[in-house]
Amino acid sequence: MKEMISSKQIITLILLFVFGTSVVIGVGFDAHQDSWMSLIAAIILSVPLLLMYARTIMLFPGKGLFDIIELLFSKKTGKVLMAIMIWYFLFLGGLVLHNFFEFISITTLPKTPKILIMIIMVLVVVYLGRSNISVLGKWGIVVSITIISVVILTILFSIGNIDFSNLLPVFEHRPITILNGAIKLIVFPFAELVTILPLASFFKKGTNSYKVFMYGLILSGLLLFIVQMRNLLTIGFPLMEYSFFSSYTIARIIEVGDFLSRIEGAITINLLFAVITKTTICLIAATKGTSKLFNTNNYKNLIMPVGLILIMLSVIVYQSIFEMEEFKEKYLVIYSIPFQFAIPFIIWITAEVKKKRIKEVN
Amino acid sequence: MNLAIVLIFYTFIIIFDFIPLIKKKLKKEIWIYSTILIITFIVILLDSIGINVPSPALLFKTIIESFL
Repeated sequence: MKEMISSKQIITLILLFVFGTSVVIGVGFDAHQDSWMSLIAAIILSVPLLLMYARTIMLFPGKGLFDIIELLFSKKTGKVLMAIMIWYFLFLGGLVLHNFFEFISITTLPKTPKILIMIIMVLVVVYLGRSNISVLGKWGIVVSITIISVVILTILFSIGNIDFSNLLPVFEHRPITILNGAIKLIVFPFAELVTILPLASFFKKGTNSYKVFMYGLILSGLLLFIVQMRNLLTIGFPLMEYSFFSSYTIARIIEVGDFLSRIEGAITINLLFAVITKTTICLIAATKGTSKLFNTNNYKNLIMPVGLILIMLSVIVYQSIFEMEEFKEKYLVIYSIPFQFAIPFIIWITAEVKKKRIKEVN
Repeated sequence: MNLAIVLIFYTFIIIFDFIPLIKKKLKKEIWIYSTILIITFIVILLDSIGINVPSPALLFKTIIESFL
């Protein structure tokens, strides 16, 4: 039986992917109390980008990003492009794992060796990656329900802590600052959705990629917006900027009556689920690429070795959380441009031209 | 401690994942797998005994800074 995932499952995977690390780590706070505007701007500006991604895979139904690269380019160029994209997926997976490790080691497991946490995480991810892809789809649906309910619960519980004056003064920042935050938000997490493209070969026949990507963007954008508003209204921007994990901070101060408090474990579970999903998608994307690069038949044989590369990258990528913050704030945007904008753009344009030529010949 | 974890992990990987692959006689996969196995093992081992391996993020930082 051919492995397939339905549109609904893809949407939940997109939701989890975007939700992934960004919601706990927090990005795009350049505009402080106006950062919600950055988020809205980021969602709107991501639309053309995601439409470009969707168009690329709609032109070749049933084919993933790497199959498309193989079809469009000469052997050498294709292999170079493949290698570049594989690197991006691998490094992204390593970053996500490392972010998770920083979170878990600061909040819950300060003395557990780094390597142990990474190994356990990667074993789970490899297991999920080796299972039939529909398992990942079903996992997406179950986990997204859990995550959304946790978000709703934390909002309900923090109603008592909400202070609307945290939003004031509105428009204190110049539009350029707001836009700056928006660009950071596009790069991480929205444009990272390029990682979904290699999985397009698993999409069910007749899947409308535009619809899937747009629904995914709207849903995940809405969820991010709700979370950001919750954090802004409860703790306000100075604390939000200075705490590395703002969602965790707001869950810590939740107290309902005398009986319900310390529910930050729920936030950890949220992050755990989302990180597993995001890393699995990165792993499958990178493995599909590796398998195509070396012309092997079954990509599943290579999942474990690629998982080992993920462990290696996540262990060596940063030495401390400060390095992580520095890279995220200063270099991530420029680093991501070739992988998220330039190469997908080249692939899309080439795809349009070649498709037209094929039509003319016919 | 770290060293022990790495050694045990790699032993398990070789016994339960690499050897079954060798039995399948997929030549290309075996080559790719063994290369990755050796490289990752060396890097993770160095890290676990406290030798800092330069991060790829550092490389990108230098490249980006040379452009700015």
